[in-house]
Amino acid sequence: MGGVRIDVLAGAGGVGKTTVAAATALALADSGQKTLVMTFDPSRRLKDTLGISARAGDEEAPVEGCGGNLFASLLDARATFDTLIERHAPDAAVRQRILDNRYYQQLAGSLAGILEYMAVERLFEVAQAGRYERVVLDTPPVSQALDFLEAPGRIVDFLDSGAVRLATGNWFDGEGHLRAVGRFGRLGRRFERYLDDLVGLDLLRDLVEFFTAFKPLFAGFRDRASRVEDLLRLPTTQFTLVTTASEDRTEDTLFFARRLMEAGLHLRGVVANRIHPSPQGANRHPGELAVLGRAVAEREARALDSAEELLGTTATLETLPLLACEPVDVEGLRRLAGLRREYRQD
Amino acid sequence: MPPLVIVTGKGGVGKTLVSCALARARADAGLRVLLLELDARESLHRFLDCAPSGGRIVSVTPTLDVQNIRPREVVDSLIEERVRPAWIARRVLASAIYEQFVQGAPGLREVAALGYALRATRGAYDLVVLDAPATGHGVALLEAPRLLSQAIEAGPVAQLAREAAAMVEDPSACALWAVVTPEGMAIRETLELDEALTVGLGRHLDLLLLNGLLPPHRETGSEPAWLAAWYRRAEAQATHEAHLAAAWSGPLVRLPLSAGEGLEALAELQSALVPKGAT
Repeated sequence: MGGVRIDVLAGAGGVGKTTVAAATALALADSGQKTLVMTFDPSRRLKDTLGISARAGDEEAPVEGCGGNLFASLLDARATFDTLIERHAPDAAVRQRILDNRYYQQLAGSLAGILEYMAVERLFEVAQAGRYERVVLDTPPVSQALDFLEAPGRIVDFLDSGAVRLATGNWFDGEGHLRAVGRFGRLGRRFERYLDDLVGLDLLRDLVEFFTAFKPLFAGFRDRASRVEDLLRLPTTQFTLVTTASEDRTEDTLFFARRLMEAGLHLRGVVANRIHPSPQGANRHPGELAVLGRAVAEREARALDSAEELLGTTATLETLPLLACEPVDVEGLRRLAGLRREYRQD
Repeated sequence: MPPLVIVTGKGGVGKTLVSCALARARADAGLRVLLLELDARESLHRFLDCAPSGGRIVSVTPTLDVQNIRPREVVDSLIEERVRPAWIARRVLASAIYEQFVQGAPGLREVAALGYALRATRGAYDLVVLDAPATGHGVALLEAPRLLSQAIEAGPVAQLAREAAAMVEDPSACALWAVVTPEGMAIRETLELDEALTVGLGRHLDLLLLNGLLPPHRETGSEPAWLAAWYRRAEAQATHEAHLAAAWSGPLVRLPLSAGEGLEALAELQSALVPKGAT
């Protein structure tokens, strides 16, 4: 599993992470390495950018015009979760019980961190299969980029939590009443009524049934989550933070960089993306756009200077220009890829 | 304008800044305004130059309050308020099942946030502005009340979900605004959002705010390369704007790209919003 080199691109939404991930993957593929780019984006932008067919889903599809070296895959949390259950369920009956459970159907897409967890889960699977030399992972656009790193740990905590153990206990008696409140007589029934009013006992029954059905899977899940976490810490897994040149974002980026290293992960560098064209020479162009252009460029230069100063020797700062048009085809991506200098010889 | 405005948009388009500009413009005009933020990582205080909320109401000016909503606290206080006697409420709050419910019930956090905004409109405020999560999660936010009210039929949470569902479906109770930039992906996501709302809620976005527009220019052919690059950018914007105009016939406000950041950008945006009638 150590054979494959992984680049994880992280950052806030709207910084062009998906495009940078695609361009980076293309640069690697063009250098002759068999590369997979994985994105986990509900709007499926990479699909448009790379021209992958709509049915690709979780499958790895070859990208046209890249000499057969570049593959792309779109991650789908629900599909990955279903596959995981199919693999870990001890028998077909358990599997079906989980898949049919109303709580599962809602939970599969909504549990905090589940989307992020499914991304690393798929990454683990791809790394294990060893079909690629390089994998570039575009992470979910979360405001709290750390969600992604903490996802495996959080899933383990969740499975270990008292709440889950309690939920898998024998809650209901033969008549469908809560066992625990039976002892308290009328007061207990009143408590049950309040609970029913609050959360609906039907939802609770679904919940208990879900966790009961899920119980045999816990061990496998926990083991896997900790191996996924190990994979993220290997020196062959490198993180790149994508940002823009804005003072508002610099603080967040540096905070994330520190947290990454504290967590024992490997930071490759910071990419400041979408840098506006910067003026050269004396100000001889008084037009409104020229004045605005200068002001924006100056603001970005200040933000880059302070980012560079604060980063110090912790990580390299690379800049990528804002292109007049977003790269929408392989050629456009290749132009952007050509600007990722670091990757040309990598 | 309805008593609640929900502002959404793709990540990085300036959603939070637009929310701040709207709230400040209305507050300056004398309305009592509450600006709510849903992102647990606060950023409003940076734009408005005030103390971080930490979940509490912070007063920015005599007519403008801001608050970071903590959905969990909203649900807890609902239980404390509605469940009597108090010892039962405490038991409920401390129970493992309640914990599980609060963490796992799909849409509960969203309903709590919307319910809180709804209550604020009935209280001391003339206008509540909600800086909503980015587009993808924005749909989840708006559809949550209906989904949750289907899962839970009785009790205070169900009632809150029903009220919130009625609110988001009613254009006179709440306006849905989306901030968009003149770029292909942002426009596509916004149009997808509008379509999802039409299917899910039976209504359209009420207003698009096209943000980050470059000023007009006249090319002479003798520009240096860096300026020519800005011109190309402006032309690309014009092309995208034309695509948007072809697909969107609803109300739209154009907002210029600001040279500044923080308060400076906010002031520029605010003055751009005011004469254009978006407030």
